[in-house]
Amino acid sequence: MTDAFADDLPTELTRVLRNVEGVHTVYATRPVVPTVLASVAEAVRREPVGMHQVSVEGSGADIRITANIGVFDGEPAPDVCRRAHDAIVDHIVGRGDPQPVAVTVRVGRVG
Amino acid sequence: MTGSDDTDRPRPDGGPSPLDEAAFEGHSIESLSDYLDRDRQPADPTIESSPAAQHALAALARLRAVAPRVLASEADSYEFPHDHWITRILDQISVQVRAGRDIPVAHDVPTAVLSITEGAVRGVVRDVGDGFAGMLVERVRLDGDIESPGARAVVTVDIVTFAGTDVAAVGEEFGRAVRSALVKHTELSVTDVVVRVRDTGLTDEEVRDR
Repeated sequence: MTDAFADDLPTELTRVLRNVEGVHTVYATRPVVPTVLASVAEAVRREPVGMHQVSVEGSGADIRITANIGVFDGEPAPDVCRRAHDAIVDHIVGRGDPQPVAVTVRVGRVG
Repeated sequence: MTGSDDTDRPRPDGGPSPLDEAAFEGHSIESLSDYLDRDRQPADPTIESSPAAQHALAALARLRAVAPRVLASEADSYEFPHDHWITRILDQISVQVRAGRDIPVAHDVPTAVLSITEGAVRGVVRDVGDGFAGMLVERVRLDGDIESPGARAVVTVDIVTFAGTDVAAVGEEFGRAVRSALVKHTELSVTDVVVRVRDTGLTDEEVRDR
Protein backbone atom coordinates (compact mmCIF):
# COMPACT_ATOMS: atom_id res chain seq x y z
CA MET A 1 0.00 0.00 0.00
CA THR A 2 1.76 3.09 -1.15
CA ASP A 3 -0.74 5.88 -1.50
CA ALA A 4 -2.53 8.28 0.79
CA PHE A 5 -5.89 6.54 0.86
CA ALA A 6 -4.68 2.95 1.01
CA ASP A 7 -4.97 2.77 4.81
CA ASP A 8 -8.71 3.32 4.84
CA LEU A 9 -9.78 1.95 1.46
CA PRO A 10 -9.31 -1.69 2.58
CA THR A 11 -11.59 -0.97 5.52
CA GLU A 12 -14.21 0.56 3.25
CA LEU A 13 -14.02 -2.33 0.80
CA THR A 14 -14.23 -4.94 3.56
CA ARG A 15 -17.40 -3.25 4.76
CA VAL A 16 -18.76 -3.03 1.22
CA LEU A 17 -18.20 -6.75 0.64
CA ARG A 18 -19.77 -7.74 3.94
CA ASN A 19 -22.93 -6.03 2.74
CA VAL A 20 -23.04 -7.75 -0.64
CA GLU A 21 -25.98 -10.14 -0.83
CA GLY A 22 -24.75 -13.72 -0.82
CA VAL A 23 -21.40 -13.00 0.87
CA HIS A 24 -21.07 -14.44 4.37
CA THR A 25 -17.38 -13.86 5.09
CA VAL A 26 -14.55 -11.66 3.86
CA TYR A 27 -11.36 -13.67 4.38
CA ALA A 28 -7.88 -12.31 4.83
CA THR A 29 -5.83 -11.94 1.68
CA ARG A 30 -2.57 -11.96 3.61
CA PRO A 31 -1.06 -14.61 5.87
CA VAL A 32 -3.32 -15.13 8.83
CA VAL A 33 -0.97 -14.62 11.78
CA PRO A 34 0.15 -11.10 10.75
CA THR A 35 -3.50 -10.36 10.03
CA VAL A 36 -4.42 -11.38 13.55
CA LEU A 37 -1.68 -9.16 14.92
CA ALA A 38 -3.08 -6.36 12.78
CA SER A 39 -6.48 -7.04 14.32
CA VAL A 40 -4.95 -6.57 17.75
CA ALA A 41 -3.52 -3.26 16.58
CA GLU A 42 -6.95 -2.29 15.27
CA ALA A 43 -8.45 -3.06 18.65
CA VAL A 44 -5.80 -0.99 20.42
CA ARG A 45 -6.62 1.89 18.08
CA ARG A 46 -10.32 1.23 18.77
CA GLU A 47 -10.96 0.61 15.11
CA PRO A 48 -13.42 -2.13 14.11
CA VAL A 49 -11.51 -5.43 14.32
CA GLY A 50 -10.92 -7.43 11.17
CA MET A 51 -11.66 -4.61 8.76
CA HIS A 52 -8.48 -4.77 6.69
CA GLN A 53 -9.22 -8.01 4.88
CA VAL A 54 -9.14 -6.61 1.35
CA SER A 55 -5.76 -5.85 -0.23
CA VAL A 56 -5.16 -2.59 -2.08
CA GLU A 57 -1.87 -2.29 -3.94
CA GLY A 58 -0.45 0.42 -6.16
CA SER A 59 -1.19 4.09 -6.39
CA GLY A 60 -2.79 6.72 -8.58
CA ALA A 61 -4.33 5.16 -11.67
CA ASP A 62 -2.58 1.84 -11.04
CA ILE A 63 -4.63 0.36 -8.21
CA ARG A 64 -5.06 -3.40 -7.84
CA ILE A 65 -7.64 -4.87 -5.47
CA THR A 66 -7.70 -8.42 -4.12
CA ALA A 67 -10.49 -9.95 -2.04
CA ASN A 68 -11.24 -13.46 -0.81
CA ILE A 69 -14.81 -14.25 0.12
CA GLY A 70 -17.07 -17.00 1.40
CA VAL A 71 -20.56 -17.21 -0.10
CA PHE A 72 -23.83 -18.82 0.84
CA ASP A 73 -24.96 -21.91 -1.03
CA GLY A 74 -28.34 -20.45 -1.97
CA GLU A 75 -27.39 -18.98 -5.31
CA PRO A 76 -24.62 -19.74 -7.81
CA ALA A 77 -21.20 -18.77 -6.47
CA PRO A 78 -20.18 -17.13 -9.80
CA ASP A 79 -23.16 -14.76 -9.56
CA VAL A 80 -22.17 -13.68 -6.05
CA CYS A 81 -18.53 -13.35 -7.13
CA ARG A 82 -19.49 -11.01 -9.99
CA ARG A 83 -21.75 -9.03 -7.67
CA ALA A 84 -18.89 -8.63 -5.19
CA HIS A 85 -16.59 -7.43 -7.96
CA ASP A 86 -19.13 -4.91 -9.18
CA ALA A 87 -19.66 -3.62 -5.64
CA ILE A 88 -15.92 -2.98 -5.29
CA VAL A 89 -15.72 -1.13 -8.60
CA ASP A 90 -18.87 0.88 -7.90
CA HIS A 91 -17.49 1.94 -4.53
CA ILE A 92 -14.15 3.06 -5.92
CA VAL A 93 -15.67 4.92 -8.85
CA GLY A 94 -18.19 6.44 -6.45
CA ARG A 95 -15.30 7.89 -4.45
CA GLY A 96 -14.10 9.62 -7.58
CA ASP A 97 -11.02 7.41 -7.84
CA PRO A 98 -9.86 5.88 -11.13
CA GLN A 99 -11.21 2.45 -11.95
CA PRO A 100 -8.72 -0.19 -10.72
CA VAL A 101 -6.54 -1.86 -13.32
CA ALA A 102 -7.38 -5.23 -11.77
CA VAL A 103 -9.96 -6.45 -9.28
CA THR A 104 -9.40 -10.00 -8.12
CA VAL A 105 -12.21 -11.74 -6.24
CA ARG A 106 -11.71 -15.33 -5.20
CA VAL A 107 -14.43 -17.51 -3.69
CA GLY A 108 -12.75 -19.63 -1.02
CA ARG A 109 -15.78 -21.30 0.50
CA VAL A 110 -19.37 -22.02 -0.47
CA GLY A 111 -21.94 -22.66 2.23
CA MET B 1 -5.44 -33.95 -18.69
CA THR B 2 -4.15 -32.66 -15.40
CA GLY B 3 -5.51 -33.28 -12.00
CA SER B 4 -4.87 -32.22 -8.48
CA ASP B 5 -5.85 -33.69 -5.19
CA ASP B 6 -2.61 -34.29 -3.45
CA THR B 7 -0.15 -31.75 -4.75
CA ASP B 8 1.03 -28.50 -3.27
CA ARG B 9 1.50 -26.77 -6.59
CA PRO B 10 3.22 -23.43 -6.59
CA ARG B 11 0.94 -20.66 -7.70
CA PRO B 12 1.74 -18.63 -10.82
CA ASP B 13 2.56 -15.64 -8.62
CA GLY B 14 5.19 -17.69 -6.84
CA GLY B 15 3.71 -18.15 -3.37
CA PRO B 16 1.12 -20.27 -1.64
CA SER B 17 -2.42 -18.99 -1.69
CA PRO B 18 -3.32 -16.90 1.35
CA LEU B 19 -6.36 -19.14 1.49
CA ASP B 20 -4.02 -22.00 2.45
CA GLU B 21 -2.21 -20.27 5.25
CA ALA B 22 -4.15 -21.20 8.33
CA ALA B 23 -4.49 -24.86 7.51
CA PHE B 24 -0.83 -25.52 8.13
CA GLU B 25 0.39 -22.48 9.98
CA GLY B 26 0.17 -23.49 13.59
CA HIS B 27 -2.86 -25.73 13.25
CA SER B 28 -2.89 -29.45 12.88
CA ILE B 29 -5.86 -31.72 12.43
CA GLU B 30 -5.45 -32.57 16.11
CA SER B 31 -5.59 -28.95 17.24
CA LEU B 32 -8.64 -28.35 15.07
CA SER B 33 -10.24 -31.41 16.61
CA ASP B 34 -9.52 -29.99 20.07
CA TYR B 35 -11.09 -26.73 18.94
CA LEU B 36 -14.25 -28.62 18.01
CA ASP B 37 -14.15 -30.29 21.44
CA ARG B 38 -14.31 -26.83 22.98
CA ASP B 39 -17.31 -25.91 20.83
CA ARG B 40 -15.04 -23.42 19.03
CA GLN B 41 -14.64 -21.41 22.24
CA PRO B 42 -12.86 -19.16 22.78
CA ALA B 43 -13.07 -18.15 19.14
CA ASP B 44 -9.68 -18.37 17.43
CA PRO B 45 -9.41 -15.78 14.65
CA THR B 46 -6.64 -17.73 12.90
CA ILE B 47 -9.15 -20.57 12.48
CA GLU B 48 -12.33 -18.59 11.99
CA SER B 49 -10.79 -16.33 9.31
CA SER B 50 -9.44 -19.19 7.21
CA PRO B 51 -11.59 -21.00 4.63
CA ALA B 52 -9.15 -23.90 4.67
CA ALA B 53 -9.56 -24.30 8.41
CA GLN B 54 -13.32 -23.98 8.02
CA HIS B 55 -13.31 -26.76 5.43
CA ALA B 56 -11.22 -28.91 7.76
CA LEU B 57 -13.58 -28.29 10.68
CA ALA B 58 -16.54 -29.25 8.52
CA ALA B 59 -14.79 -32.46 7.45
CA LEU B 60 -13.95 -33.34 11.04
CA ALA B 61 -17.51 -32.62 12.14
CA ARG B 62 -18.82 -34.95 9.40
CA LEU B 63 -16.47 -37.70 10.50
CA ARG B 64 -17.49 -37.26 14.11
CA ALA B 65 -21.13 -37.53 13.18
CA VAL B 66 -20.41 -40.96 11.76
CA ALA B 67 -17.86 -42.28 14.19
CA PRO B 68 -17.67 -40.11 17.30
CA ARG B 69 -16.06 -42.72 19.49
CA VAL B 70 -13.36 -43.44 16.94
CA LEU B 71 -12.21 -39.84 16.90
CA ALA B 72 -12.54 -39.53 20.64
CA SER B 73 -10.26 -42.49 21.28
CA GLU B 74 -6.61 -41.89 22.02
CA ALA B 75 -4.21 -42.75 19.23
CA ASP B 76 -2.08 -44.89 21.52
CA SER B 77 -5.02 -46.99 22.61
CA TYR B 78 -6.27 -47.85 19.16
CA GLU B 79 -4.03 -48.50 16.20
CA PHE B 80 -5.72 -48.20 12.86
CA PRO B 81 -4.32 -50.13 9.92
CA HIS B 82 -2.58 -47.85 7.44
CA ASP B 83 -5.32 -48.35 4.85
CA HIS B 84 -8.22 -48.07 7.29
CA TRP B 85 -10.95 -45.82 5.90
CA ILE B 86 -10.77 -43.55 8.94
CA THR B 87 -7.04 -43.16 8.43
CA ARG B 88 -7.49 -42.38 4.77
CA ILE B 89 -10.14 -39.75 5.46
CA LEU B 90 -8.04 -38.09 8.14
CA ASP B 91 -5.02 -38.13 5.83
CA GLN B 92 -7.06 -36.54 3.07
CA ILE B 93 -8.52 -33.72 5.15
CA SER B 94 -5.29 -31.72 5.32
CA VAL B 95 -4.77 -32.18 1.58
CA GLN B 96 -8.30 -31.59 0.39
CA VAL B 97 -8.90 -28.34 2.29
CA ARG B 98 -6.09 -26.52 0.48
CA ALA B 99 -7.28 -23.80 -1.85
CA GLY B 100 -5.50 -25.42 -4.78
CA ARG B 101 -6.05 -24.11 -8.28
CA ASP B 102 -8.20 -21.11 -9.18
CA ILE B 103 -11.14 -22.00 -11.44
CA PRO B 104 -12.05 -18.95 -13.52
CA VAL B 105 -15.38 -17.16 -13.30
CA ALA B 106 -16.25 -15.15 -16.39
CA HIS B 107 -17.24 -11.50 -16.31
CA ASP B 108 -17.79 -8.93 -19.04
CA VAL B 109 -15.42 -6.48 -17.31
CA PRO B 110 -11.90 -6.95 -18.72
CA THR B 111 -10.17 -5.90 -15.48
CA ALA B 112 -12.05 -8.51 -13.45
CA VAL B 113 -10.06 -11.54 -12.27
CA LEU B 114 -12.68 -13.78 -10.72
CA SER B 115 -12.41 -17.36 -9.56
CA ILE B 116 -13.59 -20.07 -7.23
CA THR B 117 -10.90 -22.19 -5.62
CA GLU B 118 -10.50 -25.89 -6.14
CA GLY B 119 -10.77 -26.28 -2.35
CA ALA B 120 -14.13 -24.53 -2.35
CA VAL B 121 -15.37 -26.86 -5.09
CA ARG B 122 -14.23 -29.91 -3.13
CA GLY B 123 -16.18 -28.47 -0.21
CA VAL B 124 -19.27 -28.19 -2.39
CA VAL B 125 -18.99 -31.88 -3.27
CA ARG B 126 -18.57 -32.80 0.39
CA ASP B 127 -21.63 -30.73 1.27
CA VAL B 128 -23.58 -32.71 -1.32
CA GLY B 129 -22.46 -35.88 0.45
CA ASP B 130 -23.96 -34.60 3.70
CA GLY B 131 -27.38 -35.06 2.14
CA PHE B 132 -26.90 -38.82 1.78
CA ALA B 133 -27.23 -41.23 4.69
CA GLY B 134 -24.82 -44.14 5.02
CA MET B 135 -21.85 -42.64 3.21
CA LEU B 136 -18.92 -40.28 3.60
CA VAL B 137 -16.90 -38.50 0.94
CA GLU B 138 -13.29 -39.57 1.24
CA ARG B 139 -11.63 -37.71 -1.63
CA VAL B 140 -12.51 -35.40 -4.52
CA ARG B 141 -10.31 -35.10 -7.58
CA LEU B 142 -10.71 -32.59 -10.41
CA ASP B 143 -9.03 -33.60 -13.67
CA GLY B 144 -8.61 -31.23 -16.56
CA ASP B 145 -7.14 -27.84 -17.35
CA ILE B 146 -9.47 -26.26 -14.85
CA GLU B 147 -7.54 -22.99 -14.69
CA SER B 148 -8.73 -22.24 -18.23
CA PRO B 149 -12.15 -20.65 -18.74
CA GLY B 150 -14.90 -23.16 -19.47
CA ALA B 151 -12.47 -26.08 -19.24
CA ARG B 152 -13.70 -29.62 -19.63
CA ALA B 153 -13.32 -31.46 -16.37
CA VAL B 154 -13.75 -34.96 -15.03
CA VAL B 155 -14.64 -35.16 -11.36
CA THR B 156 -13.79 -38.32 -9.44
CA VAL B 157 -15.24 -38.78 -5.97
CA ASP B 158 -14.22 -41.59 -3.65
CA ILE B 159 -16.84 -42.42 -1.06
CA VAL B 160 -17.11 -44.97 1.73
CA THR B 161 -20.44 -46.58 2.48
CA PHE B 162 -21.71 -48.50 5.45
CA ALA B 163 -23.85 -51.61 5.78
CA GLY B 164 -27.45 -51.27 4.70
CA THR B 165 -26.65 -48.68 2.06
CA ASP B 166 -27.83 -49.40 -1.47
CA VAL B 167 -24.42 -48.80 -2.99
CA ALA B 168 -25.56 -48.65 -6.61
CA ALA B 169 -28.47 -46.31 -5.90
CA VAL B 170 -26.47 -44.00 -3.65
CA GLY B 171 -23.60 -43.87 -6.11
CA GLU B 172 -25.86 -42.94 -9.00
CA GLU B 173 -27.99 -40.44 -7.11
CA PHE B 174 -24.96 -38.86 -5.46
CA GLY B 175 -23.22 -38.53 -8.83
CA ARG B 176 -26.23 -36.69 -10.27
CA ALA B 177 -26.36 -34.38 -7.27
CA VAL B 178 -22.63 -33.63 -7.58
CA ARG B 179 -23.00 -32.75 -11.24
CA SER B 180 -25.93 -30.47 -10.47
CA ALA B 181 -23.97 -28.69 -7.72
CA LEU B 182 -20.94 -28.21 -9.96
CA VAL B 183 -23.07 -26.77 -12.74
CA LYS B 184 -24.56 -24.36 -10.21
CA HIS B 185 -21.34 -23.22 -8.57
CA THR B 186 -18.70 -23.42 -11.31
CA GLU B 187 -18.39 -22.62 -14.99
CA LEU B 188 -16.55 -25.84 -15.74
CA SER B 189 -17.80 -28.08 -18.49
CA VAL B 190 -18.17 -31.25 -16.43
CA THR B 191 -17.89 -34.10 -18.89
CA ASP B 192 -18.07 -36.90 -16.35
CA VAL B 193 -18.61 -37.51 -12.66
CA VAL B 194 -17.03 -40.76 -11.53
CA VAL B 195 -18.13 -42.07 -8.14
CA ARG B 196 -15.89 -44.79 -6.72
CA VAL B 197 -17.42 -46.65 -3.80
CA ARG B 198 -15.63 -48.51 -1.05
CA ASP B 199 -18.16 -50.43 1.01
CA THR B 200 -16.93 -50.88 4.58
CA GLY B 201 -19.70 -53.34 5.39
CA LEU B 202 -19.96 -51.77 8.83
CA THR B 203 -23.28 -50.97 10.39
CA ASP B 204 -23.73 -47.53 11.89
CA GLU B 205 -23.57 -49.14 15.33
CA GLU B 206 -20.34 -50.93 14.53
CA VAL B 207 -18.84 -47.72 13.25
CA ARG B 208 -19.73 -45.95 16.47
CA ASP B 209 -18.25 -48.78 18.52
CA ARG B 210 -14.94 -49.05 16.67
